[in-house]
Parts: sequence; structure tokens; C-alpha cells
Amino acid sequence: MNGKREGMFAFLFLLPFFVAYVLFTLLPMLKGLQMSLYKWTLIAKLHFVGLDQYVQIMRDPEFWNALWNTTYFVILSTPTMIVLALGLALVANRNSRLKTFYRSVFFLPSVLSVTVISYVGLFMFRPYTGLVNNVLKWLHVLPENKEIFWLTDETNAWLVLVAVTLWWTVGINMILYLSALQDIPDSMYEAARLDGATDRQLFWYITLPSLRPITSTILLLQLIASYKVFAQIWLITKGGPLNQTRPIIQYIYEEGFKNNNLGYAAAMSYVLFLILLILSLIHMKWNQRAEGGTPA
Amino acid sequence: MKRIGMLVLSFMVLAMVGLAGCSQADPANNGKVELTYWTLFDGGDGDYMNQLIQQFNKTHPHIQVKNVKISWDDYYTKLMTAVSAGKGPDVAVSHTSKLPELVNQGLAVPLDELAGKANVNWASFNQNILKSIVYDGRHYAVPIDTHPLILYYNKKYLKEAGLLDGQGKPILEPTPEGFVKFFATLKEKLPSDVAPLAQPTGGQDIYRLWWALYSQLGGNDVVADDLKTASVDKEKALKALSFIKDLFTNKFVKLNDPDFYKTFQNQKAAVMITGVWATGMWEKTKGLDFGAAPLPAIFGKEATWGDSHTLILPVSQNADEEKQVAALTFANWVADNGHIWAQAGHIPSKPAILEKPEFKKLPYRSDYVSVASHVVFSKHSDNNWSIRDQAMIKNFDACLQNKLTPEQAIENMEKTVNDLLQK
Amino acid sequence: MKWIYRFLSICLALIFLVPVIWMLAVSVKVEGFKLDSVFDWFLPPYSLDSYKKVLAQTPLLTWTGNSFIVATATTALVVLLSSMAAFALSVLRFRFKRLVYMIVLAGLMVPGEATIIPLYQVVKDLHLLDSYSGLILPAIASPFAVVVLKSFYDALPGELLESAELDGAGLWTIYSRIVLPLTKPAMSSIAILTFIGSWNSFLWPYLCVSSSELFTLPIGVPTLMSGYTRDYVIPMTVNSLSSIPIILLFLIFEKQIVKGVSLTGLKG
Repeated sequence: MNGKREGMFAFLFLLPFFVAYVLFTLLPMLKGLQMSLYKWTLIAKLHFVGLDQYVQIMRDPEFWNALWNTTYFVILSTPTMIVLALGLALVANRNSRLKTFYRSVFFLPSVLSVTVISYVGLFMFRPYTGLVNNVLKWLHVLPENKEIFWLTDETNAWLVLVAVTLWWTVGINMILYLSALQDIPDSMYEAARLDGATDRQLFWYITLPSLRPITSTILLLQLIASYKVFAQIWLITKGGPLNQTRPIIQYIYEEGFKNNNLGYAAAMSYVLFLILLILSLIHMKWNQRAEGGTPA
Repeated sequence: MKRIGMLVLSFMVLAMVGLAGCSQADPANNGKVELTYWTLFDGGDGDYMNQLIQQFNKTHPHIQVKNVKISWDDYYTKLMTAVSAGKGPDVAVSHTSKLPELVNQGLAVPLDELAGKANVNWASFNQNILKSIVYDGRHYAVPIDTHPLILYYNKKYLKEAGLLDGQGKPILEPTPEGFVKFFATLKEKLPSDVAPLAQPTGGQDIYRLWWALYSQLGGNDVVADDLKTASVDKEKALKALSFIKDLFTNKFVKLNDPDFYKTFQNQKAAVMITGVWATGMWEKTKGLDFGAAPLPAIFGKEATWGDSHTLILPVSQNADEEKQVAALTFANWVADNGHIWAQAGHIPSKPAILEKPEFKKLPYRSDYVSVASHVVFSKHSDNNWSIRDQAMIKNFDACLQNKLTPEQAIENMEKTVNDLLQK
Repeated sequence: MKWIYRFLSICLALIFLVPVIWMLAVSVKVEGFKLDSVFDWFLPPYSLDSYKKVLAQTPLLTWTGNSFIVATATTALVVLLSSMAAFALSVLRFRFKRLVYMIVLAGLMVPGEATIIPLYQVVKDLHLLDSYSGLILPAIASPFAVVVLKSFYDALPGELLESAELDGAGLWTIYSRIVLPLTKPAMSSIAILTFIGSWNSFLWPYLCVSSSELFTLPIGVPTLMSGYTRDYVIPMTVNSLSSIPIILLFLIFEKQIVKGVSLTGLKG
């Protein structure tokens, strides 16, 4: 086989992927840059405005508010996600007859669509008739004539959004922990046990340290995924009350498609892109240092 | 493995077929004009609109109208994106309040030249409504109704509280004090699980009520006539908002009601203020003995919030005059058959319909048709909806949730209106 | 100690299950049912009327079909395109290979959500809005899948490929008869993740499609939830109906799905 033919073959094999990749990933990157420099509506490209829209973003309190909301969601959901995922993995990893049952139950919500989980959440947390308030009244946690307004109070709304998100997506992270747990060789535990270690010591000195690499992976994936949060918030609170839960993607969407201002939306997307890029780079550096090698 | 390869290939083919499928032209239509018609009507509105379409298709064999229902929330976004992508409908619903944006974006076709061919007589419309669709002397839409904010009441409860007169009308002195007293009496006399007033804690309906009261006080929109700056009559704006807020602080309303329509429908509220479109729904509710009345002129002037459904012809690159005339014929026909549409609750846009026996035999409507001439439409600003959502609703909501005082809410509102107009 | 632990585990599992059970239970209640105690949510009388109503009056089945078409086509194309690209990048020798791979790697850093606005414009310019192609094509180039598959192909023993080459097997044969069969698990992992991702995709279909005949489930369902005076029964029936296919698939393929997730990690 000669090199020329192999080169030709490689070209043909790469071509379909690259056509789609260029059209739908690389081209939008450039297009976004162009759009962010123009006044651009759903109907047409209007006039060139240079960096004006970026300047406007820096002064736009709604942008900072939305960015903070997203960051707040990240802060609330990431640590709870990791702890819960690990907890569930430990439950599902116990040698019991219910092992597969637990795994299935914890993972099941992950396959449901965001619309379904959002509406189930929305209806469960309704005041007056919703399940959650009903159950609280039944348990006498909540007096009969009182209501908790889950979605019209900022703190409660965040609670609902984080709870629903955890319930929906923790399964995937649990599986990742589960496979990491199963990768820890039994011999390590046996050796430690022979040395007289207690269960608690086994957990702190063997299990947890072995899970460090996977935790770091989950952390990054979770950070990036949470920064992109949109659909469940859009469907449950629409960003309310008073835009206090409106994430950055929703603001981008509303500015572009509701207020007919694609140029500004594109500029905001670029700022978001930059933030996510920095997060990925930090993680890469961190991984390199931790493993002392090249990134995976 | 080969089989999987084949499978994959066949999917690729499938995807390509899909690609071809969507660019295909309209099929041969043997002389029939087929019209795509976009609507945003739900529930009762949707049923009566379908009835109209069916009758039209039956009586106009050469025109076939196909209804495409888009959800309320996304309607205008989808309309704009579809029209600009060349996939817009032939005829579409628009609210008059949204029309300025569509006209200024160049999305709506001016109808004056086509009107003659489709036998549209502009003089036959209610002139208060018609004014709202004229831009620079040109007509851009066919109004089919107006749907003002009115007051519904549960006769059983009003009677129980001694607030119903011999004709089944509410006994309510049209002053601010009289209005409050009315609800205070209801609160006192009715069981504790019945709210005097069903209203959401914020959102569109509160904005509508505010607009009505502000107009009654003599306020005239929140943008200046040149549409470039805010012109908020702050004293009146504040008075209207404080009045609404007091309805909540007096506990006349079930707080944060997730579904205030249901509350009224299930007879858990005595009164509810909303648009006339609810009439059709209440009529069909078994055991609900209700009445409808204009919003009392508690601040002196007869005025209320209202909007109007109109039909527009969205622009398209390959505009076909035959289609456009057919579309306009349809639009005019819908307006001419306002008595069918009125079954949903709306007030027809042509005064002649109010005299038709079919309309006269509908109950309730006659109790509020007079309101059509008292509707205060918003000015022709592009920013009507963003002002409504971002300047008014947002700040009013904050006020009702006790995050802002009414004074702060009105201040913020004026500032936001200015910001939006200068954007 | 042990039974406290067991009790807590069961409670946790219940918390995870209750929303799903509640959804299913409410969906078979009679519209307008009276709620006197918490148990009324779950106890009979049951009725399938709301199912009949939803199936007869809404395009839910069409949307389910669309979701399947879009998810299947996306999955098939992702697997095909990325395995071909990964094969070239792993096995073949050609100029600028490193550069090409770097370009693919860079794609990992581009979150789809951050380019959604320009993507909309690009797809609009290509006249693909509101079509199956518009739904499917933007998702078919997955750098993530290429990188994962390449790492699996890299791990194949080199002698195997060399001996095949010596036996006179063509590159296509090596690809389709040796590499693909040997990396089946990796590809099914990619396929499963892509399928779930596409099935649940919300923002892009939401922007791309305006005709209800082309809606996928996630964007169709909300259009049935808006409007005033909705009971709990119809919305939960809609939710249940749109979840039942995927729940069934999950129960059937649970092992493979779990394996798939743990093999490749989740996709952002």
C-alpha cells in the first residue's frame, strides 16, 4: 500500500465528519464573532456597531444578574451533586439482594426528558394542591391553613430547581462513582483489614483517595454542564420570581429571540464561551499537575 | 458488521430524503387556493376558530384554509423566525399591541391595494378598533374582535352577601371606597375558603388591571406621542398600583394562586377580573351561575384595558396575489362572522354584527359590548410588549411580592421604559 | 446499625421513585378527582380516559415518532462519522495528522450552547430550519465521540492490523471487518449516550422547528401544558405517555446503558 493512497483514504474517511464539523461547529464560531459586531435581528443584518455590544454587556445589570444566577446554581448544585452521587453509589455498591434495584432506581430519572422532569417537579411543588405541600400537611410539618410558595420565593425556587436537577442527573454521576468503586481491588481492603482497620478507616484511607481522579472529572463535567443550565429553569420558573433564577442561557435566548436582538445575544454567547473555556483550561492544568503527565 | 454498515447507510439516505422532503413545493392543488393560517388560540377560542375555518372552507370551495396552532408563549418568535426564513404562513393572527413591531420590521403586507379585490369595507369596522391598525394612513390588518378586561361574578355568592340586585347585577358603588367595601363585605359574609377576588399575584392580568385603572384616572399610555421617551403620569400610576396592592394586603385575593381560572371555575371565588375570552369557558362550566359586567369606573372615567385580535398577511418573497386576495377574503369573512367568534366571549369588530339575531341571542355579551368603545389601546410603539414585560409586569410583580414599594416600582418602571426606548 | 442503614437506603430509593410513581398514578385518575388525603393521589378509581383523550386529540404519537427518527438518525450518523474519522486519525498515516487531531480536540472546548445563536443563523442560511435535516445534521459531528473512539482504536494491538495488511486486506476491510467488530462495546456506549442526549435535547429543536408536525417530544409537550385551567390528570398523562417508551427501553437495555455510561463518562 502506498502512502498516497492511504492519504487519499484518510481524506475520504475524515471528510464526512469534517464537513459537518466545519459547517455546524467551526462556522458558527466565526459567524458568532461577526454577528456580535453587528446590530442583527431575526429578520436581517442591520449595521456594523463594532465592539459596542460588548461594552454594553459590561454595563448591563441584567447580564451580570443572569451570570450570577448561573454561577449561584453552579455553587449550589455541584458540591451537593458530588456528595449525593457518592452516597448513592455507596448504597448501590453494598452487597445486597437489592443492588441492581438501587442502581436502576437511582439512574431511572436520568433517562427521562427534561420536559417530563420539569413538569412533574412543577406540579409537585404547586401550592394549595401540589403533592409536596399535601405531604407536609399530612405529616403535620406544615399547618393546615398555611402554604409554602415554592416557586414565588427566590430561596425556595432555587431549592426546587436544585432538587429537581439533582434527582434528574445524579444517576449518571452515581454510575461513574460506582464503576470507580468497583475498580478498587479487593486485595487492598483485605490487606488493610488484616492490619486491623475498621470500616470507617477503610472508607477514609482507601475508598476516598481512590476516588480522587474520578471526582475531579465529575467536578469539571458538572461545572460545565451547570453553566449551561437552561431547560429545567425555563420550564419550571421561567427565570422567576423577578428574574432571580434566570440563567445566562435564558437571557441569551430571550434577548435573541424574544427581543429580536441576535447580535447582542451572540456577543453574550461569546462572553459565556470565554468563561467555559477558562474553566476547561484550569481543569486541564490542574489535571496535569495532579497526574504529573499529559491530559487524558 | 456489514449489516450495521447498511443500517447506518440507510439512515443517511433517510436523512437525505428528509432534506429533500422539506424543500418540496406544494402539491398540485387542482385550482384550489390553499392557505396556511397560524393561530395561537387555546381552549374555547381554539374550538370556535376551528368552527369558523370549517364553515369558511365549506362555503368557499375554491379556498382551503389550514389551521396551524402555535403555543401562545412562542407564537410571535416563531412567526418572525418563520417569516424571515421564508416559511411563514399566508395569513396569521396578530394582537394589535404587537402589530407595530411586525409592521416596522416589515413583516406585514399593507392591505389597501388588495382590499378592493377582496371586498373589504373599512368603514364597516368599529372605528375605535380600526384606529389601532392604521399606520401612516395604511391598513395593515383586519381586526376581528376586541377583548377587553371585564369583571365576572358568581351570582350565588353575591346574593349570599346581599350584593346582588333584582336584575342580577352587582351592587357596587363605582368609587375606590365602594370597590373596597364590596370586597370587604364579601370577605366578611362568605365562607373562609371562598376568596372574594380571584386574581394571580402578578403577571399579565395584574398589568391589565393596572392599565385599566391608570386609564380611568386619566393616564395616557406610558410612552410619549413621539414614541421616543417615557411619559408616565407618575401620580396616577402610583395611585393605580397602590390600589391593586391594597387588594392583596386586605387579603381579598388568594395569595400566589397557581390557577386563578380554576379557582373561579370551581366556585372558590366570588369575583374575578379578566378578559372577555373567559365567557365561553364559564358558560360551559356546569353549575356555575355567573354574571359579566364592565369593569366599574371606580376612578371616574369609563376606560379599560383591551387588545384586539387581527389577521395579517405576512410578507413572503414570492407573494402570489391570488393567494393574498384569498387570504384577505378569509380575514374579512371571519370579521363578518363575528357572531360565531363571539361565542368564545369576544366582542365583534363590526358594529353591524351586534344587531344580528345570532349575536343577540347570546347571553352575557350584551352586558359588556359597550366596553368596545372604552378600550384604551396602547400607542403604536415597537416596544409595547417589551415595555409590558420588562417595565411593567416585572416591577409590578416585585411590588406585589413586597420586594419594592409601589413608589419604587413606578420609578423603576419609568426608567426601564426610557432604557427600552433608547436601546 | 445495619437496619438503620437499610431503612435509610429504602427511603432514598422511595424519594427517587415517588415522582415517577406519582406521575403514573395521577395519569390514570379521573379528571377532576377529589383530593381529601394524600393517598387519594395514588388510590383507585382509575381510568384510562385521559390516555384515550390525549392520544386522540394531540399529536403526541407523531412527536414520539419524530423523537425516534431524530435520535436514531443522529446516533447512526454520529457513530458512522466519528468511527471513520477516528479510524483515520488512529490507524492511517497522512500529512498534518497531528494538526487535524488538534482541530478535533479544540472542538471539545466549544460548548454547543455558546454557539446556539450563530448556529441558528447558519442553519437558516442553509435553508434547513424547520426540517428533519435541521434537527439532525448539527448534532452529527461529535469531537467527543471521535476522541473516545480513537483512544479505543489506539489500544488495538498493532500486530493485528499489520498482519491483516500483509494478508492483502484493503483499508476498508480492516476498518469494517477488524476495527469495528473489535470495538463494538465502545461504539454502543457512544450510541447509547448520543441517543439519550438527542432524545432529551431541548434548546436546539426549540429554536429550529416551528411546525408542530416536526416537533420532538421535549418541545411538543410544553405546548400541551400552557393555557388556563388545567387539571393534574391530563398533564401527567402527557408526561407518562412521553416517558413510557424510554422507560421501557431503559428497562430492557439497562445493563448496556450502565456499562455505556461508565465506559465513556458523560457528555457535557
